[in-house]
Amino acid sequence: MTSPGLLTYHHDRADLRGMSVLTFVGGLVLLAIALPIVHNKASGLTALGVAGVAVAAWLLSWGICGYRARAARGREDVVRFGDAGFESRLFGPIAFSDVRSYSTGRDAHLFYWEVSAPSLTLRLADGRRLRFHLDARHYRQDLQDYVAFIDTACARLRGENPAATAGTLPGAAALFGETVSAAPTERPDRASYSTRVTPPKPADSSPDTTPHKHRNRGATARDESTRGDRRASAASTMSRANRSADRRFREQMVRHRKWAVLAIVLLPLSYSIRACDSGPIKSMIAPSPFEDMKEYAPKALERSTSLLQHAVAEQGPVYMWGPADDDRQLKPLLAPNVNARQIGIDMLDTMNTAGSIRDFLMGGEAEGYRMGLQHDDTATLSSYSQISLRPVDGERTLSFFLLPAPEASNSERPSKLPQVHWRIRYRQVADIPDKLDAFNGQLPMPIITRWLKMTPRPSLVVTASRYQGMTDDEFQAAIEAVTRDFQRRGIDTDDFEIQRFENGTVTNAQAADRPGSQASGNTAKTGAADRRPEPDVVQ
Amino acid sequence: MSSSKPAQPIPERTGAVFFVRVACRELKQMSIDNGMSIGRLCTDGGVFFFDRDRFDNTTLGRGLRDNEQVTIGAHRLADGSAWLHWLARSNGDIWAPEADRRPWLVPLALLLSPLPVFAALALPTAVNIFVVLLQIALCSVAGFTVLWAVYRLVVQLHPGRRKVAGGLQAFRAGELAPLHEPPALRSPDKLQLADGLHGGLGVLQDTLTGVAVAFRTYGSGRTSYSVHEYRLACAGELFSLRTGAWELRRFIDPILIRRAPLFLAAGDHVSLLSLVVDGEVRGLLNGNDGLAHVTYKGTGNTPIARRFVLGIAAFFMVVLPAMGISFEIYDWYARGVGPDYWDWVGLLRLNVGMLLIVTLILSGLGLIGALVHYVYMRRRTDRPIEKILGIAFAWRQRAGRSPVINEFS
Repeated sequence: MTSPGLLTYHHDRADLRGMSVLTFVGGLVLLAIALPIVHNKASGLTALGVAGVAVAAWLLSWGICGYRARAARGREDVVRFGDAGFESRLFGPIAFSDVRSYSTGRDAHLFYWEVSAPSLTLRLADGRRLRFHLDARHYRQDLQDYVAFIDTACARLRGENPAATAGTLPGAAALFGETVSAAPTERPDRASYSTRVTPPKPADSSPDTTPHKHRNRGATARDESTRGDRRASAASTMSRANRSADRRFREQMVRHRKWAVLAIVLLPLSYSIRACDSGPIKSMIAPSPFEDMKEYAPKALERSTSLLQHAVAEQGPVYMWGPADDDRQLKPLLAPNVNARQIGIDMLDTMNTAGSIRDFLMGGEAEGYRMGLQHDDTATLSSYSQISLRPVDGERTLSFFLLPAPEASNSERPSKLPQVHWRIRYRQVADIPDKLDAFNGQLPMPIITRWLKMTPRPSLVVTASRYQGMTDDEFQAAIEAVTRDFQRRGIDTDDFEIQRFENGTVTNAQAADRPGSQASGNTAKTGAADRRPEPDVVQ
Repeated sequence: MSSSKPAQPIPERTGAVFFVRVACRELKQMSIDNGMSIGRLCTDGGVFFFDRDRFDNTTLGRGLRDNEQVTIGAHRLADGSAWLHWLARSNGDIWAPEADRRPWLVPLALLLSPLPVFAALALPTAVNIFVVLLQIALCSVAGFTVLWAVYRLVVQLHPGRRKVAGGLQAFRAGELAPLHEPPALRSPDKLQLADGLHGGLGVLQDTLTGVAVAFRTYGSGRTSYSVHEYRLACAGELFSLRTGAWELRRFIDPILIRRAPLFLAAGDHVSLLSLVVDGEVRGLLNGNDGLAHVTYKGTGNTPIARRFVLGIAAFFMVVLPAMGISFEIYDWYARGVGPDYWDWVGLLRLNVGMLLIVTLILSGLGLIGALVHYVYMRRRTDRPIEKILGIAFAWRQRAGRSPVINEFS
């Protein structure tokens, strides 16, 4: 086959259609990003104008691309190859010597991916770029001619001479022995390029198409023999390649089988481990994310607590006014005004508490400290405040704690005797009685007064701290005012005394294993052996 | 069978049932080891395939004479060939599948299918793994029974099947009219290509001297993979090609078949097309029946991959909005009040949102997949399947047939 013949196909500009799709989608994305920015930066009218221009430019560019692609689609091209180039009905004569460079690509239908054909772009010496794509609507009808065109053009552009390209595929007409002259009406309108189209010579023509009338019987016999030899040679070559492909397929199946066997062994194994083993294998293969946390959580809490103790120690002394001969190991505390989320799982609660403390310290203690009271082997904190408890200039705070007597707490109905705590803020000492009267918290003051007169008598403790601006003298003055008010209410405070502590840190309770002390509400054990956090409590 | 109405041409719709009177040219069969046995009847009015196992062997064994006039009831396949359902000879013999011996089975299965469900529900509700497994098994049995019975019922009620049966009954009563006009088909031309290589394409045209189809299994158990392996003797050499052995043709009702089988028999004049790069036979043009078979294996874009990927995308595009709609409708049902205007607006918003999310997810996955495909396939661009496709399309059209080729994989 020396010439592909007259090649007819329908042209397309798939590149322009791709460009129009990209322009539409890309423009939409750019507008979605840019327009809100313009709207924020510019005034309303300016933003509206910019938006209008941008949208118009977007639609215009999209429309131009789409229109050009649509206009170019479906035009019939007829190509005829010659010795020095080819002539196209759409692009005119193209000499291979004028082609500076060329590139090939591949087009595929958007949904029918197998409708795929090569594409060719020629860059000519005069700067033009010619793009050849096949219109997918004529794929089945034009594919043979189009592939023959691209195949031959690429071979010739690679520098192969016409004789060397004899092995390339012919067009659809030449494929069945038709000559170019058989279709004179399909000649290009502008066929001015001087070409010499060689009529195809069927290499394996059937007896009825072979021009054998000029041949003698001996020549025909030689032709038959030559053809038979060629067929045997081709069959042998193709069969050898086919057997090689067959061998590759079998090897591939064996390779795949190995992987499949491996997968089939490992899959049930993993399921059986998952289903049956709850011990070391499972933890080794698929360690639970909580495994590390079990060890990490107490350490994290210990680190945070240590940092907190240092921070609390720097806040200065704390004061307490309460029963002098009390054996409940009372001590005022300073605790961060944070409320760690508690979900009921010790490990996670510990992590949450440690994290809350760390956040509190890293956040500059913005939430402030609140007072607490260490007693027995537990700690009771004043209530959590969503408003920061950082000290306010000129304002002082007294925190009151009313703890049921231990024997009362150990009764069968401890819930009827709650731990009560409240705080009052004042600027003048003289305001304290009014603040106490105005207090209406967990229990009203008259009930508290009556409870303090009952037996067993609950422990009443008043605390303050230097952190909240309280000095020794001011606490003394405040306690005197409180004492007078309590005396007015008939509450006996004769055995009360003021105590001063160096700082508000927690001390290890000597009576950590004292029986009968229960943690509830804002209360938690403070023994070193028990690090479990409770809501609203920091140890 | 005399009728005053003019004969209509055979409908071009795939699956259309028609009845023609044609002259026989050639009857061949292809048997697959441990598999089905397919027959091919070439006539002056087209090519007909059939499953020999569905017909009476004694009747088939009497064969057909050359140029014998026969009346055929068949349905059209995608490439213009047909699947034969019954054949009536001039001597009165009729080839027809044996009647369904168990017509009561489908209604009985439908009737009994609720029983396993009731049995599953009647089991104690205590949490016991064996009870749960038994419930699952019973419900599965019921589900499969219903599916099978519904499938059989749909097939029984299939209009094509009823039309085929009606045609046979009318023929037996002498009332089948009018018959369709068979198309005038030309024999396909031989490719004017010399045997050998043509720019990376190998071409060999000759008559098959032997064909054997084996059901071959590689591996064993769950790791096995089965294929139908064709061994062809052509021009004194052996060639092989494979197709997957999982095709449904053996299991589905013949009326649902739409693609012609890869039928090859000794004596067929074929054109084998292979790619030099891998030596696989990728295209096969059968001059005896005019069918072109092509495989896309190893190329970048295959119809099977397209059906698989787009099928999954369509599945999610349908299932996720369907789930949203069902949840919304369940809410309406649970509250006991019918939907108002705002409910419909909410449902519309929900669906638009779901579709948007699914589209975005699928687009993202598609982009990643396209990039991976591009990176992988750019090293394998040496399989120009379009050269084989172009020849196959041109060969079919040259013979006046539709440019439809059969994919084997």
